[in-house]
Amino acid sequence: MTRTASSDQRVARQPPKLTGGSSSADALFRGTTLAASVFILVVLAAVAAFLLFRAIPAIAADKGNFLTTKIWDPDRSMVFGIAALAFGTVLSSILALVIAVPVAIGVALFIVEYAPPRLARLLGYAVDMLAAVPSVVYGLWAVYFLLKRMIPLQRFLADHFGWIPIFADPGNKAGQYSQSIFAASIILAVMILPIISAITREVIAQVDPAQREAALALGATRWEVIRTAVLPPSRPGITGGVMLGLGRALGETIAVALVIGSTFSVSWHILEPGGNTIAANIATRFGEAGSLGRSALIASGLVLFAITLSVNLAARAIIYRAGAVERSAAV
Amino acid sequence: MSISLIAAPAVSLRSRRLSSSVVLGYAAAAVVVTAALFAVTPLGGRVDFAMVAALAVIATIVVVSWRVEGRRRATNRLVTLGAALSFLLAMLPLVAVLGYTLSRGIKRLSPNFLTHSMAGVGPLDSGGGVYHSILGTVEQVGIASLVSVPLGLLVAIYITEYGRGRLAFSIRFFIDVMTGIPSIVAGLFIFAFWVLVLHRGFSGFAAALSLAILMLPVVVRSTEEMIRLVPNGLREASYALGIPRWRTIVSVVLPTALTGITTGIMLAVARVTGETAPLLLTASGNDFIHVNPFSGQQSALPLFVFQQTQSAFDVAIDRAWAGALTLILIVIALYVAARLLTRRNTLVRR
Amino acid sequence: MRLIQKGALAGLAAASLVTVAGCGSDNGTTQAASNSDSCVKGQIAGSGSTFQQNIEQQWIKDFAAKCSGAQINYQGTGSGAGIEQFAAGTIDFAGSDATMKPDEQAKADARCGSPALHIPVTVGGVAIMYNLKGVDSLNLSAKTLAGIFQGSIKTWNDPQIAADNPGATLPSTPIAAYHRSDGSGTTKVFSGFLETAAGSAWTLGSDKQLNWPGGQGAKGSDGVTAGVKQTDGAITYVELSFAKANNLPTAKVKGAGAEFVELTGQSVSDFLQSSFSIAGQGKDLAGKLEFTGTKGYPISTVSYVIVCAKSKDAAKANLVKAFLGYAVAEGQSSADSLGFAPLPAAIADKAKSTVNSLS
Repeated sequence: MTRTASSDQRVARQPPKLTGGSSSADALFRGTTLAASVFILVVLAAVAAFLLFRAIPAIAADKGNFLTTKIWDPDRSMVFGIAALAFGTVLSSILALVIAVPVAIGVALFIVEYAPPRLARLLGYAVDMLAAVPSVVYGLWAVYFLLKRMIPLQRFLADHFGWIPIFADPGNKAGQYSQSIFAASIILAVMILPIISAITREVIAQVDPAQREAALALGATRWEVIRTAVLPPSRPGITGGVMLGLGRALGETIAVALVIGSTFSVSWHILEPGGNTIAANIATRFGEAGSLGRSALIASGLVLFAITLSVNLAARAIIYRAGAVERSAAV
Repeated sequence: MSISLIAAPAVSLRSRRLSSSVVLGYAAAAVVVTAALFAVTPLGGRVDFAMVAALAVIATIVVVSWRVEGRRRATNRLVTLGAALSFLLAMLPLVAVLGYTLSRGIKRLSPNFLTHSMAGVGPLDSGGGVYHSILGTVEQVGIASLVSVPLGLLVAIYITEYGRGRLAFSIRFFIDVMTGIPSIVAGLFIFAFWVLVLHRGFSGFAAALSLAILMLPVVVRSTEEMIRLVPNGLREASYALGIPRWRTIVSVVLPTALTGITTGIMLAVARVTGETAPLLLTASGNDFIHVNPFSGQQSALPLFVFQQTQSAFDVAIDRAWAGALTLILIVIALYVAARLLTRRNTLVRR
Repeated sequence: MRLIQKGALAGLAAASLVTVAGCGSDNGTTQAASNSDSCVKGQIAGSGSTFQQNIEQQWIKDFAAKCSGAQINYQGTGSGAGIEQFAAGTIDFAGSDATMKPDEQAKADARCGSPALHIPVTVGGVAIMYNLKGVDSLNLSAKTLAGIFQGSIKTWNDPQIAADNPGATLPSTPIAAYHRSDGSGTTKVFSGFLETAAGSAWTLGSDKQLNWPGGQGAKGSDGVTAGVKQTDGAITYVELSFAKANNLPTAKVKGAGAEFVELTGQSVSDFLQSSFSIAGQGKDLAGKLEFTGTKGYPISTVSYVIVCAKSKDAAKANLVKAFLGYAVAEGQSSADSLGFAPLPAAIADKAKSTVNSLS
């Protein structure tokens, strides 16, 4: 009954014993796919090597502690550090996920499970259109349209939910400025929503209809069908979509650069003006940076690389755990 | 996760159900009560009203359903309303972004705008157009797709169909890591490699390479998820007919997953079509028509938009929004074309 | 059958692309170009300073109107990026708001195989632009500006602002101070001015980016302008063209002098005559800007073009020379309409002589 991805793969990987003579064509095809895969690893290694090559001299020249310093001043005092940037990057991406994932899954469920089939295709296209909007346009739209309209929302959150630490507004600035971690998270959430939603939609649309029918036949409500027959086999695919969205959020450059306030502080108060992310900082500082400044920015790119790596590791661990629990429960 | 849990007692075939007209009635009542509340208390604001009214409707329907239909159906209604609400919520930014871009961009969008470059246009002139940028974007994204789509498909096939053990795992893992490469770092890498090491100078091709780096992980990951969903029965049936494995993959697995794969590729194309940061370092931008992608500075639509917005003057800001509108329309056209192509080629659709 | 349909579609797409490719035109405006015999043809590329971008674009247009065979491409990528690309040999000239540092100069010299020269091409003021209901005219001294941008002056009716504006009625609106979140030559000029003129009241130093204690950062001149336009009580520092184009008022500023001075082309030239001096060796016109002058508008700056004294590519060198020759002479008349100021006569003469020496 439990159709986890791993059991699927095991079947898929069984070598086909009944196939006829063209084993050399098979070997060639397999070799080509392998070569492509290795090539990608080489490209990635080259990117990493390039980052390291440029980053190490910069980190060596740093007069502060690269990991804990919150200031970014490589060209003048040669003191710079990643702490505030890394914090802002992770915080804004996680907030974006918190906002986008439930909505994206809800949208996918609505399209596949609830909307009439004729309409579903059109609704799916409509959500995909969100992905058709380029990031520079999102950024400009935010600057000219969204930001000033967010001030009432920020004030509302600060007034009524200020007792939750992240919505606290000690400087009383939430009603005045709007370029903050919160603004960045919202724009990121809008940008990753179509990615997560599109993949989730495709994944749940592919669930074996027999499973749904079996659940329905047992008298399950629609939600029970989703909970028991649709979501479990879709979970690895949905996670894949979420990871893609997270990757996009961590690395998004121009749109974030346009809406974030660029201060170098570690603060949980997401409504306060300021905040910064690694990618946005590279984009805003690169044009006017001196030679050490540029290397320092590349070093920060390396850290983003490392953050992505560890976030992926953590996510894999979580999926693995969840998978294990699920399997034992099913037995 | 066993089905037996939900087959539990409460389902009685005679249990009372709420008819849709009753549900609508309760929803309307909730809205009216909210409106009354806003009229007599200091509460105000259209956005606040929409939020409170939505919550009131959901709460009313769920509570009524719980009392009449029982917990299970109430939960079902809650999820249904939640899903519908999510959809409306997702449409909100879409309508706002497209509407705003349309209203600001339509002013300058004209055949003349689409067929002229920015050559000889001064900062205060209202003329000029995006032709040179459209050309650059089409060439750059085209080359990036030619590089990354076949490569990405091959990698996805390897991971799902052949790869096992440590290598396949590490490829998957590093592909995930690759999704986190900030676009500007991809640009920096190509700038260092292509421009500084190989001394090839700025070109549309260099831009395309940096875009390909950004496209690859998206293509691989989405293709991988879609291939994984192809039922094994199809593969086994193909093997049983004596069809070799590679042909099974090419003619059974890929066509079955085609709509999903197309969605993934479109997401990737849409993403890189709007990338600005890597282009600044690789294509650099140009006000003139530059056809040859392999040498010389070239423009691109996102660069055009980005650069026009940096100006103080309204003529440039208008051009920027018209350029943004053009960019969105191109991506939408590509998307529709891809959908039309795949629809007639899909073997199995659920 | 299916393949045929697909092929037909692809063919259609290709055909339409070819059609589109055939109908584009570089003739963005309607005016016809007239070529004189002395015209230089060819293509050159420059990039760098965004401060210069508008006037470069104007020169390129006007120069091309004289010489239709000349294709000059200037991209505003930022001064630092321009200097790096110049050293890498990917562009023929760089625009920069600041002079090169020694290591940058060495790399640029190596690229040229001859000294890389700074040539001042345009000057301009940084406007203090604000948006405050009911206040159309405002005086601000350096110390008051330092207080506003460091967050110690929080409302518009602060006694310090009132002292600069005797007799004016100022509202109690909170001040929203916008600053550039990206690295910018404009920030460097503004902070350089405050460092000198506000003395100990300014503690953030002077650089292209600062460690701002408060206020709101926004990207680019367009970003801060959008912020100020949307917020009552907002203030920022920005190129004059943004204030003019958006119909926002600018403040009169008092630096080391005794008067509050309005930003005009003339007041910028006046200030630079006393505060700017050429420090470069030989034909290099790298200058030194001190904010100690008492005459004119005190937040003013000089923007350079960086070129090779002797270029390896003679054809390109000729075009660079002709273009810059136009820029530092006739080109200066475009300055006022774009929010720049003409080069003061003494600097313009030196610039002409350096341009003439290029080969």
